Amino acid sequence: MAKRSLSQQLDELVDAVLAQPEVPEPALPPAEAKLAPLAHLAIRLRGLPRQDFKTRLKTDLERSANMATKPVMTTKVRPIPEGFRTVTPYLCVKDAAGAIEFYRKAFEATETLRLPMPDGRIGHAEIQIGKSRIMLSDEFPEMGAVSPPSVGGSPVDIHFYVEDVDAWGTRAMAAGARILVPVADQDYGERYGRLEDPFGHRWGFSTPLNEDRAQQVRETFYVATPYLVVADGAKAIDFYKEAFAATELMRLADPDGRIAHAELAIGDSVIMLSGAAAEYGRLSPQSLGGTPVTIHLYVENVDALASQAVEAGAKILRPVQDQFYGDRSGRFEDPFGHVWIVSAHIEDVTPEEIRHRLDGFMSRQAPAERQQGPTKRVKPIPEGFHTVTPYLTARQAPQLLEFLKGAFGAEELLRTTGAAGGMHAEVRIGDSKLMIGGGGAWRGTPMPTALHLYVSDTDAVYRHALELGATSIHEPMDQNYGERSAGVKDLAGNTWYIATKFGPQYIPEGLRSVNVYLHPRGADGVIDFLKRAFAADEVARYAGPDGTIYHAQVRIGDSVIEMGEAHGPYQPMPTMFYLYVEDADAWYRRALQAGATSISEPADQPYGDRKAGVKDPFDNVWYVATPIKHVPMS
Amino acid sequence: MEAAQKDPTKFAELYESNFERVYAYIAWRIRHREETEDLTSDVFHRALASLPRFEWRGVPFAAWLIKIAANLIADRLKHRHYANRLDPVGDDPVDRSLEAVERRAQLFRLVDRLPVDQRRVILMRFAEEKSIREIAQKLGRTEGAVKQLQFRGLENLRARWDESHG
Repeated sequence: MAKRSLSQQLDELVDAVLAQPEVPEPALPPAEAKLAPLAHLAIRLRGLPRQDFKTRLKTDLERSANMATKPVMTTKVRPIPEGFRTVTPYLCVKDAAGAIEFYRKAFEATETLRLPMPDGRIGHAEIQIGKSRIMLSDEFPEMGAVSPPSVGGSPVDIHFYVEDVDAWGTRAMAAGARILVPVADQDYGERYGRLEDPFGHRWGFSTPLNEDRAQQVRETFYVATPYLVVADGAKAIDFYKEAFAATELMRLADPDGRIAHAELAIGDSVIMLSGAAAEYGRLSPQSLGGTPVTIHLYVENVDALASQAVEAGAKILRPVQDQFYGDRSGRFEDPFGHVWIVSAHIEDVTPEEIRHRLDGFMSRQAPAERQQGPTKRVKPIPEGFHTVTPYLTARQAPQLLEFLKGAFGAEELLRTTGAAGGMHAEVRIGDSKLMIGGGGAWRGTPMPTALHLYVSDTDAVYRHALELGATSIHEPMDQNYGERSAGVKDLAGNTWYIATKFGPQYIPEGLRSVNVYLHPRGADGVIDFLKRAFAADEVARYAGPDGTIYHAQVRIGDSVIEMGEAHGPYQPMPTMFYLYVEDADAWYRRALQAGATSISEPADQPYGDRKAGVKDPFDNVWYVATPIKHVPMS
Repeated sequence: MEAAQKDPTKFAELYESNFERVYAYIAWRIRHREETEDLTSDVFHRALASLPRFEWRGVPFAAWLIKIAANLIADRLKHRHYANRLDPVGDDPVDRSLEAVERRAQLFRLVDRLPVDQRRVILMRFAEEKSIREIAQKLGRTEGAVKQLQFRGLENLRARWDESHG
């Protein structure tokens, strides 16, 4: 008989145990004696409860408990204007008029209200899609209304259940929408497709594939349902229950408790939410730095609900007050960065009357706005960037760019030709931006870099990277510092430590999707240089008895760089950094004083940055830059 | 306990600390998964409903839950023919069975503390009763790797069990 491995023998025992569910001492096939205790364990594990049963029952019980104590929001007489539901998504778009036209073609929307401002922008508009109203407006950055391109994406999808998802997909594509997820059958019993409209808003359409699911969603058929991405799904569910009297309808969690999908009822409406997963383009408002979708709630008692929300931890953006358009409302930001308007309809006002009152409102507002002065000042860190941006250089820069898009879901934001004849590109991975240079006529020396990449599913991203040509450094494994991680090397020689932190948030506090990891010889020297040159803060240091630094983190501005002393296969990989700072000249001078050598003196660049370059004693290259004017991209 | 009586929303905590116990008891008496889930759900719903009437007379809450479970099982046996699914010792008085149930519940809780990939395999194998092949497909790993995880998971459980029981 061929020798069978222990794990094979054990599995035969487990098979035998599971095949005899009702037998207290099941008959077992022969196996090595040392497996006997494990077989006994297997027998006792037969009644192991299913994880989702435990969560489902808990939800059921909580709902019963809540109903017993709190009066549920009654839906009889609602100060909800005709045609509206509790939840209405409010989209901010760069070109509201164009968007309305697009939604008409793509989703058969009809316009029900439009309020133009004196400057031509649309202050507020309402359209009807399916059974839902959707509100929209142009951008008003001064009032916190920003569109997807300004935010860099959207943490809210608008989801619709429809009868024929294929027809919706085809029509939207014909109108100019971009496909994010092609329409296909999903294993959760829906046929689903996801797309991005030309204004950057994201839409999901689903047709249930079976009677059960059709029954579950019949209340929300053709109703615009916001799908929120939040950093911590479980905490968000708790918060929405407390703040908005939401009830939990369903929750799908992975073994770590991360929410893959949840549905909550608020009043007569439903919202859906999931935890962030950067590799699928699902980013939270916190990683994006804002949201272009506000969730508008029409409720019975606006003052009571608003104070309940604030008590639960919502931040007041605008307190509850009577509005000229006939609502009493306030604006709030929840702890997860989503923005809510809580409203009650208090007076019916005709569109003509609203326009009339709006003129009055504007003339009262105008002087105050003038006092604030122009807000032309260029921000020290451009939108979407952080202090530190890794700059990867490679001979095959275009191929590297394709790899990052395919393997890590990188989004290409800019591609142009640099001064040295190579490509310059900027991409976003999760909440982080990277610059990529090289290829073409560029003859510089490539600087492959080591990066720590946090994703929601290390195993999937690792497999995907290998499929796309990366080589494995090590397979996914659980690490004793609370992460599951894997290592790959891409075609340009960059090293990626792909990692998922255990627990409800897969990115550790303080870090981002992408973090540079240095393996210098003499890590304490690097830390010392960074402190003197760039006012870096040492956040953490794990050192051996001889002072060797195993792992350290330093913060420069709003960004963290990780490092560990070079050892074994982890040899120094000098890295190129692009730093956005308040005053490039001063940073350049300080870096030279701290021991760096000059690569280029501060000078204004045609792309709008004032930039200087230095090389530190460990061969890392640092560009320090201050934006001096806005230059349109491309 | 008293907190839960005043505020039924605190019931969640009692649920968390007793779920495995109640489930293990019912699973031990009735070796049938759907029936076990059904009864477990029944026990907690009844407990929630009669919480205001629960009197603190030295009977621990856990025992009260087991009592409800025992009554429900007896009820069901009267009305349906589940005798064939009963453990031969099914008529054991509540007290004698509790120790075994307690151990089983502890084992279930230990599963929660396994490293994530071992836990996933153990749950899929024993709770969802999936085959190694199904698990391998679902996780996108080889069958050999899944068997290895099952092996390490059980070994780990064994070690942790020994640790907590001297």
